[in-house]
Amino acid sequence: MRINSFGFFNLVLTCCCVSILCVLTTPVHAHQQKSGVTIVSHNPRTHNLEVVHRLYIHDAEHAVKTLFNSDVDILKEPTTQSAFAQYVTERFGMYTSSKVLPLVLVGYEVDGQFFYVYQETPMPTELDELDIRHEVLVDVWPKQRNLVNLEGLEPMGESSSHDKPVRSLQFSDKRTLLSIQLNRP
Amino acid sequence: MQRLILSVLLCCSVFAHATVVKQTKGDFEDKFRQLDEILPTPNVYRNAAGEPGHAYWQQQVDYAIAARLIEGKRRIEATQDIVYHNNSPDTLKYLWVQLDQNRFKPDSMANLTTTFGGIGTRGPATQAATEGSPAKISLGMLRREQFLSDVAVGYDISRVVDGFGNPLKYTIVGTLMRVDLPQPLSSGEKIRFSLDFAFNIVEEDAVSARSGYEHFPDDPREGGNDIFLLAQWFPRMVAYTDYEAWTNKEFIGRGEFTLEFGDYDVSLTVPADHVVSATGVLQNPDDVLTDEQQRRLKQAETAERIVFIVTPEEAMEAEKTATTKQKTWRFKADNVRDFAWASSRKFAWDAKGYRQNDPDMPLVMAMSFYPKEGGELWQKYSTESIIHTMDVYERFSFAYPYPTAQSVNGPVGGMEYPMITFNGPRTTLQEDGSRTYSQAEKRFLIGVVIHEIGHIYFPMIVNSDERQWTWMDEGLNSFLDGVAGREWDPSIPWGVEPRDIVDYMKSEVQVPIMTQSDSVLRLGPNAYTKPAAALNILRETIMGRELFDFAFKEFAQRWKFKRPTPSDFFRTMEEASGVDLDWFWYGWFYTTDHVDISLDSVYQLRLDTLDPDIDFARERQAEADKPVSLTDERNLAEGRTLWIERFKDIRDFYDDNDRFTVTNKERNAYREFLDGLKEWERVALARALEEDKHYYVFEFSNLGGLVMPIILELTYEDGSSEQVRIPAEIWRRSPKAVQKLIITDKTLVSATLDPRWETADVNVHNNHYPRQIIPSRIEAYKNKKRSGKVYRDIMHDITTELKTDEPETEQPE
Repeated sequence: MRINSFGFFNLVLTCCCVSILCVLTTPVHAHQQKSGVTIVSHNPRTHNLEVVHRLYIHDAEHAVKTLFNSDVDILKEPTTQSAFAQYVTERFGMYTSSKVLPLVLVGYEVDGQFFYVYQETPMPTELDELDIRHEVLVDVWPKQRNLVNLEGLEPMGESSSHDKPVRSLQFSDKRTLLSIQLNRP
Repeated sequence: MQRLILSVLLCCSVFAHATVVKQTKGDFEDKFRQLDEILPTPNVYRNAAGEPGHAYWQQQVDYAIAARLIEGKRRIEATQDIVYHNNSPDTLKYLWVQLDQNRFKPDSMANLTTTFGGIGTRGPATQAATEGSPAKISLGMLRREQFLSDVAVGYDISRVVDGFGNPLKYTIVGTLMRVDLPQPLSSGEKIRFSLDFAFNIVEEDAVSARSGYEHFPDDPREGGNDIFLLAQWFPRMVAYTDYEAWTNKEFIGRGEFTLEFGDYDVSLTVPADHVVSATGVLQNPDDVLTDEQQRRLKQAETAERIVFIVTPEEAMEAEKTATTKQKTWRFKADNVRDFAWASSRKFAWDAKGYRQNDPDMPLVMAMSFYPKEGGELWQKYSTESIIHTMDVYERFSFAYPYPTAQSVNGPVGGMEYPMITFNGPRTTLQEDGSRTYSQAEKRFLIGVVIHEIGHIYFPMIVNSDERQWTWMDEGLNSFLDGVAGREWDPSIPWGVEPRDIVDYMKSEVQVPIMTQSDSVLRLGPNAYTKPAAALNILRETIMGRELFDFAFKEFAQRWKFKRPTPSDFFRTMEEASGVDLDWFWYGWFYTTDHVDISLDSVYQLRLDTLDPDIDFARERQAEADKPVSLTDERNLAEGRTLWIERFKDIRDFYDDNDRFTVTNKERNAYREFLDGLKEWERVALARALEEDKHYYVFEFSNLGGLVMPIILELTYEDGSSEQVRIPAEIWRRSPKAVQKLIITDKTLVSATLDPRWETADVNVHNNHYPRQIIPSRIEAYKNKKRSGKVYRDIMHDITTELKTDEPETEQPE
């Protein structure tokens, strides 16, 4: 996988510039997972590209205190959930042929130990290469890792989109922009 | 597809290297090949049953340590005596010692090989430059660097001498030290040697060290207070084993510890107002506790609820003052593989006796130590979680064999040592001065205490080699902490369900579970969740609780106070249950395959009676059931009159008898056929005809690679359903696709594969026949949104202005 560059991002390579990433007021506990999973899949019924972000509640709970205010509670407060969902959408993007895919926030919910954020966009007609920007929570703790599974985007001549190989992108602290070549028939 | 094919080829070649025996024609893969070529050859130390062999041995190392905590300098100075018992059959010319504090030195392998912005680094993070953003370094990283440049870390080792005071030659190699013996140490002999050591304690929050000090600058005492957690704090002997000899692999940070059992006698001199929690039993309560504290401790032995030895109020009082006096706390611990301790004047201390039905250890003191920052969360749940863990784990392993079980709150998120664990969750101080905690923090506390106390069983007692195999203690213990968590409150979600691991298992970013600890890419899902989910599947789905629980307990008891390897676990689970699990171990632990079984189609067969009077009539009916020709239908609609209707006077035999008409020729042939049947054939045919069952052929394909049992739910016309469970062995001769004939009394309308999500099947879409439209998560969310106030569009609703003269109708949940 190669790191891609986009016209609309800051293109200046600033390796030697050291900037302060974040200020954590509380120690971060080892048992926070600091990992998220994003599933990008094609829904043949709605002709949408669906994006499901799954984050641990325990991560989100600590994150919102750093992001917003130390006394907010994501489990109890709809406003905090909404603001956190908004935050997630701002730090995730998909681009094809250097065009941004217009992701719409469908909603968000708490389910079990996870906080889910849902986004969708019409399936692009051409999808040979997909560039993904994933910066969720890396500004809160640089150890955050986000795994993106791309499901059902590589047709193999079948009608169902679900028996196709899963492709993965691992956004570890080194990378927030990744590109993947999709093999279309 | 090219990339996919390439990765498949790579997998194949790795597989080919790993095994001696190869399939060199065709593409058949024997998913049930026995593990003989992969597992080490059984021997007198570890037998083929996965049991300690008849000549099993392990070394013993006894320690006597006198240590002083110099609070002002945050420094430990100590002297220690080591008695090394060589129980191995080998003669040893040198001994290896672990110097774990040297990991923090600037020139350690751990520090030199930490990559900038690298994956899997322990501790504060950095972020390399991308074309979109500058390189970043966290404040945490700066704090770590500043701490390490300000404070000299690592061991000062001096006076390494034998029992007569003669200096011993020693060589320090990173986090290891070789001590050359003047005389080789023969099998069955022991040697005593001593050394002095000192080191500056690291700040845990700066270095992420699994131990260290935490500073509380806002405490009322001038200069604040500290909590000291001491672990990997004394030079420990490297384990010498039958399978690896000296396990002297450098401590890089992730692969934890490989240790020997022994007896400890440790004297800890600390400021007189400190409270000390340590591995073992306090030997001199008269010297360090007040009469009142000793009376409370006695009272706790039989109390229904926790009893405070040091109350939170007393701890708050102690925070305010300072003393120059010192006290020495002496602890003894028998048959432990390590020794850790904690010391602070901030500690409240509660205790409750746990009575268990075990003649060797009828009473265990469960105790918790925590500052005011732990607060009510700790008072309510820490000690109770310890007791719950012992209660549940006993059923799966053995009675807790030590006299104390402790949970200490400090700067470490969660870490385990014999009889003592460090656990991080805390309350949050609110602006009004109160302390509160969230639901997730409460779950975290209960979960982490169960997990860390569980580690006292695995690996502190079932003494697996953590430096090599993180999964052996984390996987087994995560499985059991899931069992214990569910028995606490099933509404608390604990992540060991098969469904919890599917996203990881279908991703490309993974390594086999059987990977050395320091090389694992994603430690959480690899060494914790995946093995825990695998054991859950063995217990609930493949072996059943009775066989699994017996075999698992057998493993725990066989290796209690001994050192098991992965093969001992794999072999014991098979040998004690009588279930061949080589296919399961191979697929789940040695490969990165996932589960995806597809139910491709179902077709029905019907038994011909061969009786022409019956079969011909059926065929006639089958013909009649076909749809009418469009031409005929439209001709009729247009009013065309058929030739045969216009000239009804011209008729013959065939106008009255169709091609399905039975003649005596067929009837005679049928009689001859019946006469030619043997008696048993006639009986079988007659019975089958009478029962007239339904014959269905199911076609399955294995898309994920992992073979698993086929669990089928059959739903019938009358609305009833039944479950058919087919063992994984169905795949043994055709691992990619199989067909199965299922005979039923009732008419089938649909079938579902793995309806309870037991197998970690990553794709449920192909589990239904006929196929069902399964809404995506987003579709399901949109549907739910229409009903139920939980899913209201709060983002939008929240902007609604409140009409003050009307009562609110809905409250957010």
